[in-house]
Amino acid sequence: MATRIRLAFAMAVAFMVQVTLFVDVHPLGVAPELPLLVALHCGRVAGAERGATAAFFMGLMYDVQHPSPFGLWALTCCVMAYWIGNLSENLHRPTGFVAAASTGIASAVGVAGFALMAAILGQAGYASTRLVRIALLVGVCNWVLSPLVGRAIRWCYRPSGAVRVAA
Amino acid sequence: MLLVLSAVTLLSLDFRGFGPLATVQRGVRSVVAPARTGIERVLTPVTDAGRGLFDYGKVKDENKRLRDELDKLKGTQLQGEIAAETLKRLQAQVEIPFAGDYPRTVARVVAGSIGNFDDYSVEIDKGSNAGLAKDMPVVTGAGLVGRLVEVDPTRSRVQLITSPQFAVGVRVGQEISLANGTGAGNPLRAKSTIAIDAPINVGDPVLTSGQNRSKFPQDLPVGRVRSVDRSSGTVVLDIDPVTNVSSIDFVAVIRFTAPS
Repeated sequence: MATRIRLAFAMAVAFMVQVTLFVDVHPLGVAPELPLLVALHCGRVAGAERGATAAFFMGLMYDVQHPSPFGLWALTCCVMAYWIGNLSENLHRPTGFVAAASTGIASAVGVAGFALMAAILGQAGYASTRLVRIALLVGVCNWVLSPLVGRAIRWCYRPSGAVRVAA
Repeated sequence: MLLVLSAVTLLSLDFRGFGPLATVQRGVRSVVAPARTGIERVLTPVTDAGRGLFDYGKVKDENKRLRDELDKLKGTQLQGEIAAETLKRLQAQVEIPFAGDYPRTVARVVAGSIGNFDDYSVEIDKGSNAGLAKDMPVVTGAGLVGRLVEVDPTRSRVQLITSPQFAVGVRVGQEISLANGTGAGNPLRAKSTIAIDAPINVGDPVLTSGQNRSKFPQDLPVGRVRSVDRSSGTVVLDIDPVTNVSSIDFVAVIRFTAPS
């Protein structure tokens, strides 16, 4: 229960920062995609299935404000969280620099996938020549933000009542 | 798999225009709107600092462009005053109903695009509580800016004239030549039913046609013809929008509803 409350709080904060601060502030000329970043970390920390569920709701929240077709961010976030969760569970659970870099790469892939799906659904202006640039720069922005968001998501999934013990 | 299916179901319901889904979205947005407004106010210093940090070059260029524009405007001001006076006299003589007679609601642009792919919309601080409804035209003092695509109680989203999904019937030139304009980033592009030999020149004014149950009243200024291409068998016009949509702070929503 406490995990869910913490997760809902973290998601609400990420959503609010995305639709307020990152509407006007565009580092490197693009807006970081915080909901996608939260989704990726949910997948990595909680595993494929639990992570994908949380990511679905994160995407759904973003869909309410985003002008793209409703459900597209939910689909993107849950698929990406499942994918990265699966990789972390079965292949390799990266830490530190590698974790941040792989999150950046996954963000770029997620953004590109989102835009291509939007284009397939007939949305004009998504699969344009700018897409590669946007995907790469979102990857860089999310890479930079990854340690901070990763820490927040690990706090959300921390077992209730856990205490830090000095070794 | 269940989550993917849920997302796909939501997508298909959205495409079919499923009413309850739109109502839920509107409801959630209405609940979130006051929080967004509050947070935006609190974050204003951070936002300004961020803009200064990341958009310095852009602001510098914009400043230079505006100074050049101001010089040009000073030069043409006198000509404009004379033309306006002539138009006033002409309207009084022939009693042309001017589009400005429709009731208007002035609104402030409170937010730009969300995410990275929506460069063609802005949010304004008025909604259905102020009598606004979907598809109403949005203008500035210069001319057409866009139309309302989402209307919540206290906020609305404006699809800008440069959006690839924006469509408007226009008339061009000295003779009334009709065309269908669609946003093409910048400029607007009009392909049309205009006769190939229609006398259209670069610089000709482009106005809304107001025909065929148009969503826009007649004679709203849209822009000026930038180029005319007759090579493809039809006339394709590139039009410079009369309003610079990248820097609008206040707009007026014309409370015009298209005839059914």
